[in-house]
Amino acid sequence: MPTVSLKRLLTKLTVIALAATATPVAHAEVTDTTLVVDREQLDVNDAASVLGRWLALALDKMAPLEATHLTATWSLAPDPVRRGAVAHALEWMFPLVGDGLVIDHLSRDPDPNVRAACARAAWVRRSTGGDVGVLARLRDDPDLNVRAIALQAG
Amino acid sequence: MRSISLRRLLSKLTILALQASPAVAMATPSPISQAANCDDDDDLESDAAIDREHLDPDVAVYVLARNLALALPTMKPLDATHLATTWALSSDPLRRASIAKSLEYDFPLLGGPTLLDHLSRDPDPMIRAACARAARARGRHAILDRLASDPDPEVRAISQGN
Repeated sequence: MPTVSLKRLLTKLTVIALAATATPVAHAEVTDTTLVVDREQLDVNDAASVLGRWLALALDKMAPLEATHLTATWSLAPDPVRRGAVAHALEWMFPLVGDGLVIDHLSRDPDPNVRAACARAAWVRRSTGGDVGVLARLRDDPDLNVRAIALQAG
Repeated sequence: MRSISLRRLLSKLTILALQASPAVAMATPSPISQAANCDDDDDLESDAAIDREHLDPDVAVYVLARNLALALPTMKPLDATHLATTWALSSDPLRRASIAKSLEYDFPLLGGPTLLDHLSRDPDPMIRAACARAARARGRHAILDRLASDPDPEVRAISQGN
């Protein structure tokens, strides 16, 4: 299965975030979700967390449509690192068209770490329409950690 | 350059639209239909140029847009937004024009205003004209006001309601 290293992906996201142009465009390597992220010694959640921080910085700098496209692409990716990275990225505050939809989608993810990040993201974005009933639903989540975050947020 | 035939793309969009019908939704998917659908994403979401065979670009855009407008509302919201943004950011003008024209039909699409705003700045006047009609249908007055001073006379005329 083709892979892309976490370091390389972080570099690409940094380039997008630091791009001098007004509307940087995501490189094909960033949007190609057939590439599995090679996270080396990091576990899935740590890799998603690191990637999420840089993804948030990049999304904030991109044109709205590009940002929505990249977010939707990663949210629908088979690789849990990419899905987790989007959930973690949305814990940071920046405007994103369709953030509520993405959080709602990822809050049904099979990975409890992704759902936990969604609970935090829904809470952070609740004042801008980021919580479309997600926190209320996650209060009954089968995962203890997810339930705790949703209950605390509520 | 890789290409995909217009017919194949239309079939894929039709399948998407029909998948939401109650009869199909209740039926158990057969292995054949699952196999037929397994490469939906590759065809619909790739950036391959569309081989429109003998059709004029206008006609190809019209049929694609009509099928997109039927398929997008039946898809899950995030999938629909993903497909629409993929086509809007495509390097193939036929895909960009098709998604612009599909917005002339009235259906809910999350991120629709952002999509329209993006496409209304397209270098191709045919796409900007479709955006002007879509902006009129969807009441996006800010886009209409900007396109009213577009360099292309047709885009200007549509935006001004002439």
